[in-house]
Amino acid sequence: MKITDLALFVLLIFLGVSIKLDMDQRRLIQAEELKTRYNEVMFTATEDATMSLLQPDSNTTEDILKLGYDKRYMEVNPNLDRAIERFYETLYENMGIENDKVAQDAFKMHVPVKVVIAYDGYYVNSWHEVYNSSTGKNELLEMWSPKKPYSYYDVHDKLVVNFTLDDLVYIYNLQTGAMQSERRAQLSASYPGALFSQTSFDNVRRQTIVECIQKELGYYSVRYNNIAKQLGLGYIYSIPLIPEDAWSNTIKSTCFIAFLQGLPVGAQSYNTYGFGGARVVAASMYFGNTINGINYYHEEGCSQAAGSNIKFDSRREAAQNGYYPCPVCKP
Amino acid sequence: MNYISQIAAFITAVVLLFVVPAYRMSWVVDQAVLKQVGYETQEFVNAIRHKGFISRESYEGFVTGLSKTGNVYDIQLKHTRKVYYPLKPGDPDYSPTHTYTIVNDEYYTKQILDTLYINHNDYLMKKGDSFTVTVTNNSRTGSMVFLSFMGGAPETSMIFSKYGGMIVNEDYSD
Repeated sequence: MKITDLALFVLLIFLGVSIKLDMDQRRLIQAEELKTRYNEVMFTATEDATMSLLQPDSNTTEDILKLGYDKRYMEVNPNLDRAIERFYETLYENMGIENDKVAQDAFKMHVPVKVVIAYDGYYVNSWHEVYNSSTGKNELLEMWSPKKPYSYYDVHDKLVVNFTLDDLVYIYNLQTGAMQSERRAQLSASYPGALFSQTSFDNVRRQTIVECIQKELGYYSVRYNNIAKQLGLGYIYSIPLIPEDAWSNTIKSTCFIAFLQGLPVGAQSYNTYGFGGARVVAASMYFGNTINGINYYHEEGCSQAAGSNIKFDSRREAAQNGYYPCPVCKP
Repeated sequence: MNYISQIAAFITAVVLLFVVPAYRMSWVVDQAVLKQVGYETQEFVNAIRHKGFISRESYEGFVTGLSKTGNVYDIQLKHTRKVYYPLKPGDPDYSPTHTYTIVNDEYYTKQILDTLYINHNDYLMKKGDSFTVTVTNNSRTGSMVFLSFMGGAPETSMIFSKYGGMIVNEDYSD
């Protein structure tokens, strides 16, 4: 046999292996890109949903929002329906299925749980089987749970404590039956235990909020697995472990969380989640006053802000009205 | 017999030494371009979403960014505008809790570019509207040429990018 024939023969054997390797490699690269894409899409969609949470859903809400100044968003009911609508709208647009009802319904099945973190409680949106009286059949619907509080039981003082996203606490004293809503500072005087002390309060509060939500997520993913089995989806849903720092960014303000599960990527399925960011309510106010005949605008809490009698929504608005940035707080 | 095996060996050598490496290289280049296009598109869409309007500068910046990749693209812009109409008692969808309806008006590339280049205005959008950009590659990239040369079915477009989202700000005066 000549050397060329031998080379061809070896090549023939080798070709099969190399083609397979090549295809595997490509699939990996494409899967990697798809993952990044899904992450970006989830980020945008949850961000949009969070923005929509604060859209007024009734006249009273609108009034509160107009008062706006001292972070009154806490009292606003989040506009849950608008948020979920917007969440899907953005998802579909990015997936290119905005006009395809069948694909949309199929896609919805990959988003088993949505959570809204509100000021004094959280809402969970998941699939529920509901009896429809007009057709006499059970239907699968996406529904919001009622608001659930961030509850904690303090064994030492026998207190049921409901936390909020800041230092306001609702407490129920099991011994006296008294209910109170107070700031932490006031409570630390009447309950000198460790819970309301300045050092541990924030840790307990965060821990409670995260635990409440994680427990709920676990519950709903098990529930959803039952539904998925009935629908013939072969994927087992489980809530991914969320790193500590992702949580601590989240539980500062109203926020929308969604989990994308079981999307086929390459030969495997891919899970991701999205947090709608805190920047929504970070809408800061600027305070204007006059020092030595010059108009200055300050950030909230600036030492020079004493005697501020005017508020601005933005730095631009302040500048348009002839105010200079304060040299101390440098807004 | 000797003759055939030599030709076969020659063809295989050409394919293995030149065509396959060239195809692999161009495929890798295409992947890099795809990433770049995705990045540019996302940047542009996010800038528009957080500003609330499209100006000539921002659009041209985006197009310039794309053209640096050396391909020709088809850019589709879409603005979905939410229009709120009141509902009167007696309308089919009316209920005491549902007193208005939202209609989605869609505006496409032509209307947007006409505003920018014929009317010489910025294209303004409202908070809550949607804005989507689709970028498709129109030219034949290197890997497509090689793929069709080797008898493979050329993919219609290797490079495709679509981003969109909600307008979150109306910062017209900047």
